[in-house]
Amino acid sequence: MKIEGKTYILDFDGKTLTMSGKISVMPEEYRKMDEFFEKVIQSVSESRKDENGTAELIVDLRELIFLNSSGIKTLCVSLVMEADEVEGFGMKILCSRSLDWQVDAMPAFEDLMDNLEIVFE
Amino acid sequence: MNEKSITVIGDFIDMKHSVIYDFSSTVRLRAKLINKERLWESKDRSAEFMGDIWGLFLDQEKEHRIKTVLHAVCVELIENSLKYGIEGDDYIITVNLCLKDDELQVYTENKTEPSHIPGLETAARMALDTENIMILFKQKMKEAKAAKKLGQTRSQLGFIRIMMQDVKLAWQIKTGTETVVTTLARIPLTKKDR
Repeated sequence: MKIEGKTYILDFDGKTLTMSGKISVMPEEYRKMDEFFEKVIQSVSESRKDENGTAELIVDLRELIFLNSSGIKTLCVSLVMEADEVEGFGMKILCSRSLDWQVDAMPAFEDLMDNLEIVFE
Repeated sequence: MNEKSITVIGDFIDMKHSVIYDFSSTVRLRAKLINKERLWESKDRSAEFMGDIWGLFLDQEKEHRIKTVLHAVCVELIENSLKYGIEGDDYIITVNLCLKDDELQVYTENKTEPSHIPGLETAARMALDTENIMILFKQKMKEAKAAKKLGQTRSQLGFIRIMMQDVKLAWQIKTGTETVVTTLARIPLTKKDR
């Protein structure tokens, strides 16, 4: 499952959601991302429940060079906070120390989801 | 009645054309002439260009910070100008950058509808009054989540996002026959240690 814009790609392989490129798009385009995130959460919830009834999504942002405030909101509200409402859902977000926007913004995601791990490399 | 009034929010510094800045540059978009999608794309390119060019003026230690922060700040400010500018007019957006001592000052100016001003003032004062910008971020995300459930989109995250990068914001709002908003972002060239 994938969506692609002029400057970015969002790719989900059933286990890992990889976001890459630069995202600073027109407001209407974030609605597509909303719908995409919804499908990702649904897919992980349905197909990855292990014997403990838990599901984990890995979100790889290490190649996402830029994300504007509307993109940060979409990622936070439509992916992280939506996933938090699904029982037994865990999320690991992979970040890069070399990308300033991630260093500044990603720690603010902590506390917005119970089972969230933010990993900087 | 054409009486003019000026409202200042935060530590706004007037851009004095008589002052000799270490460097200065201006980008002026007559946005009315540009297709909306292209305009949105050009906003990114303009912001990135400014970050790249201004990075070259500085020593290596400051170059990386300015490239990335200036890009991020300009994206948010130009985006706001596009969202709240008056499309029926010439829709002119002006970005002035001035380097003075160890601070880069970014002035973004656009005309807007008077109806946008109360919302701007509330968002600006809330951002300036907060003691912890990270807590305000979380609060805004919770509000955005609640709004989403009601089918609304809102975040007002742009100012908060800028301030999360150790950048100070201030505003000047001129009202009269037309309403002109100037947003000042003050970027220290050296990042504070956390």
